[in-house]
Amino acid sequence: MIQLHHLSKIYKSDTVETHALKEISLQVEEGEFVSIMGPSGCGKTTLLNIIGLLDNFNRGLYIFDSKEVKELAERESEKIRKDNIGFVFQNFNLLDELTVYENIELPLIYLGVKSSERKLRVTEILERISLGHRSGHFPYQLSGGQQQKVAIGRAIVAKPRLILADEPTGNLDSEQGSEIMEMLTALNESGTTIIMVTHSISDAAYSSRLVKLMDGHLVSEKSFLHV
Amino acid sequence: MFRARLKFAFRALLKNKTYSLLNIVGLALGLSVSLIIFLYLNSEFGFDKHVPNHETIYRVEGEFKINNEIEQFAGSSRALAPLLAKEYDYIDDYTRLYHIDVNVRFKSKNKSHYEEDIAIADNNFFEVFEIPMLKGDRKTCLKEPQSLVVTQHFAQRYFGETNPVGKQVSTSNHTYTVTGLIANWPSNSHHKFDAVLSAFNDTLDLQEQLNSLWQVNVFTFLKLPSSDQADRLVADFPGFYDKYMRPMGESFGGHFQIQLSELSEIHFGRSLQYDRKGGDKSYLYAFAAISLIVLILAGINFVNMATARGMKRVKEAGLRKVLGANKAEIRWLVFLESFLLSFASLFMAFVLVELVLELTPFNEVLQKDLSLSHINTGLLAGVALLLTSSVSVLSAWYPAFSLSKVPGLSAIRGGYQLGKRSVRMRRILVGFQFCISVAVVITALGMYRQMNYVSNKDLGFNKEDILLVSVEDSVTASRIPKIQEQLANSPYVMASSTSFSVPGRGLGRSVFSLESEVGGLFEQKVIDNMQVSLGYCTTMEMEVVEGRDFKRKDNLSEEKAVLVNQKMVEEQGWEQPIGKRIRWGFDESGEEMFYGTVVGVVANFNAHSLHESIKPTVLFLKDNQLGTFHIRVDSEHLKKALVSIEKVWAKHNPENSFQFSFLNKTLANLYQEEQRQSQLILYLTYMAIFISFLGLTGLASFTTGLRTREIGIRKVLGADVFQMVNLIFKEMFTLIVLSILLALPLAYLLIKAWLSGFAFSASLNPLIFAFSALVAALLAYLIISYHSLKVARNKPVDTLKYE
Ligand SMILES: Nc1ncnc2c1ncn2[C@@H]1O[C@H](COP(=O)(O)OP(=O)(O)O)[C@@H](O)[C@H]1O
Ligand SMILES: [Mg+2]
Repeated sequence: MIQLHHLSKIYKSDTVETHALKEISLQVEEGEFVSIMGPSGCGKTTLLNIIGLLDNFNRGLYIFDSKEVKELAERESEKIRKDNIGFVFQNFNLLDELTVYENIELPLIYLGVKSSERKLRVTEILERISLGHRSGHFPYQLSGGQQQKVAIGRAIVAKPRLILADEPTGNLDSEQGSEIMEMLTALNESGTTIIMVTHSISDAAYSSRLVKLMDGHLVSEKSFLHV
Repeated sequence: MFRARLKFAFRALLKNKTYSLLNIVGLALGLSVSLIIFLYLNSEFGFDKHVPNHETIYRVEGEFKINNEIEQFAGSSRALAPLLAKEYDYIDDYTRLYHIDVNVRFKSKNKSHYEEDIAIADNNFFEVFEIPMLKGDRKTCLKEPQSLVVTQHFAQRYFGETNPVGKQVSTSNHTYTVTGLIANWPSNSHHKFDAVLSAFNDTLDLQEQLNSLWQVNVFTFLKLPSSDQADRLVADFPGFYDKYMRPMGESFGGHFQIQLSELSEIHFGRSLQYDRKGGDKSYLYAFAAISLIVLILAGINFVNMATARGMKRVKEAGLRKVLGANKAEIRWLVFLESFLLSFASLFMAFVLVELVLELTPFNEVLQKDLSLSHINTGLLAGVALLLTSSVSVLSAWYPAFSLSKVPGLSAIRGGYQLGKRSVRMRRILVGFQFCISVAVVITALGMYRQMNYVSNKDLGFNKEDILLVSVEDSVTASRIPKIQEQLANSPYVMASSTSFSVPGRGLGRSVFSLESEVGGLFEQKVIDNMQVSLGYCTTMEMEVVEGRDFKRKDNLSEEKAVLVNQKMVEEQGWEQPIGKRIRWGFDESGEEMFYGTVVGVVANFNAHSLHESIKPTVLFLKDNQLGTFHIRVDSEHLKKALVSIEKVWAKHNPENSFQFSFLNKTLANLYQEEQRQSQLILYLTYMAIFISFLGLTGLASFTTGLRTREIGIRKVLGADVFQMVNLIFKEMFTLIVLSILLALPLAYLLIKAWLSGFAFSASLNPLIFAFSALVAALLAYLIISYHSLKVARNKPVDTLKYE
């Protein structure tokens, strides 16, 4: 599904050039659950953003579903993103002035789904994240764990094939964190590909494969064997 | 401590360079408009106040009552002042002035120009009007015949920078010696001229003087010790009337009384016939209001900028607090910044004003001589300081006080929002700005349309390509037929005719007895009338719609032939106008002297300015008369026409120089004031558009700025660019629609009020309103799109980071 070959990313500011990613090569197959770990500032978020087509890169090759990303026009990459990818952020990124229900509904609106169908799907998601009783609440009325659930709900409502999660448990306590991990695992088992950045070994243990980054380099890869 | 504060304030400003600069420029524009309008008002309200002892100079104005209709004139008889002075010894002095309102060609060595602003005055003119004499002696300069006192303007044209006194200039039949030099009259002078000739040797005997008391031919100024004496003279005047004027008045049922106006009050005084162009104070108040509005519009941007910056600096304010600054300290900082900015604007405004006044044709267009240097420095500084400090205090008020209330710790942690109220206030202010600007634009378009209408309206005659030559003596009059005969040979002269009056310069008004439709019965009315010679309708290209034009034979007939206009037919209810009879002119016993018959009806024509409606008018035939010789020339060959006419003139009438004016220019002068107003409004329009463009830009970038993160999230969730632009536009849509909807009736009222001064006006085209509203909405959409696009186009990662 995803192939990166010798991919590099350089941030240029007035004074310094930061080589955030150096010659990264990585393959992710459909149905995998990959964790990315590494110290702060090693380029994890940068990598995730590039995979999610949110950011561009300087050198190398990125092939998504046999399409070369660099060649794509803005509109095409927007379309790929809309149809295939869901995002979960460390800081949730919910819209404050929309309710839980409306936040989850948003991607469906942008996909042009009919309102009756939207209602069905949002209700189903609300049940899945067991926040049906909170659908009319605004984000600031929820706990951090609940907000992240909403964010996951929003990420999966459009039934994406790939979910990119950047430290989804980073702002949560361990109990809330494991709840979120259970949800992600369940999603993966039903066929969704997941790439997740995390600082927690225990979170990484949920995944099928671990990728380690260090200072922009990919240093090691190992597979977990699930029993 | 102060230096540290100043440094902080400067740094804060530099951090936001473009936006700061835009707003400094915006406010500078607002301040410049206010300064210029202040100069303008100062000049207008100071009309004639520059004349030393202006409070002791009074103009004599005449009030004629004929058949219970009152006609008021700005001028009076040249015989009046000498007789008055003889009768009432409390009149200190008098002087008389006559404006020659035609082009006179002056020559000096190889230089020759047509002068259109020459006057004739009594020899003591400069002792009554004690304006500064640069060269020459005010007592003697006009004593000798053929003396000429010139302004710097005039001197410059003929003699350059050299001293003109003692030099000579000549017209085609006289040579004048320059005996004095005065400064150019300031534009705020009601009676002004480029040069003045000595004249008025009173050779009339008493009887002639008495006869001429009923005429209006000069402007008379009296020097009176105080306003009490002015009231006294008005009260005493009936005695004078009884003594000198009553017998003649009684013979035709007339009465005469004088009124006195103090010099500085003439310009904005009553509107009188035969006056110089007067002013209207209500327009001055309107301008003051407009300048205030422009300043408020610019001030709004300034306030909004201060608020927007305040919101961005919540964290900074919190941090300062934690580090030990108290509330007062933070307020200080905000106020100081605001003062720095507004004084930068003030400085720029002064530069702008100077540039506009010195380098652009602004003064020329408005026929003013505004300048920063003409005005009392203290007053100017006072006004400027007042304007600037009020803007800076007002704009800094909200951010200063709300920032100083920011609780230290929570602000640093983030999440502290500076009231939603300020966002709402901001929107309302920008809405107000937008509304006013749209209204101003529509009003300017409406005024422009009217000025266009005024200069293009079919007046019932063709005002283009007509030269007017005044015929002031009977010798010249007797030569006109010969001149016409010669002109007929010139291929560049189309037609010519003489008329006693000229459209736009006032017609004769006298009592006529008019036959009623039934026949036999006669009814007396005061009617506009014109004495014209043969060929007048042809020359003016006026249309005879019924009956016929004058014929040569009409001169001989016992019953005079007359033409009337359609309005006359309508008002009299004449079904059959041809053959209706008219009588006029009264002899000593009160019997009518002249009998006439209507031979034709001319299409209605505007003999007065378009401020007035068309009145019933009688034209009667009189050849070889005094008045104004009208010549229609070939527009393609104006120069050649002038040369050939001048040649013919010089040959047949060598004693009088050829002097002319253009009919279309005479008529255009009737709308000078409105022309000026529409020009000013046009300038203000540019200003308003620019300022509200700034305001909208500010609001759009502010709004998108507040929503950057949201835009990023939506984009990640799949929103396309168009959806995001609409998102922002939707937020401002109500605001824009509402302000346009408010602007429409506002503009309607403004134009209506302005047009009410015209009897003839262009219809208010609703398309102008619809079009302006549409363009305004479109522009707003473009500005908003531009700003939201800028954010929406960003890579989502960049916008997500934004917090
Ligand atoms: N927009 C940016 N401009 C410049 N440098 C950046 C930008 N974003 C990230 N970086 C730099 O790139 C490197 C990798 O950042 P990031 O991918 O956010 O690391 P991680 O998520 O692993 O903590 C860091 O050194 C960071 O400072
Ligand atoms: Mg990161």
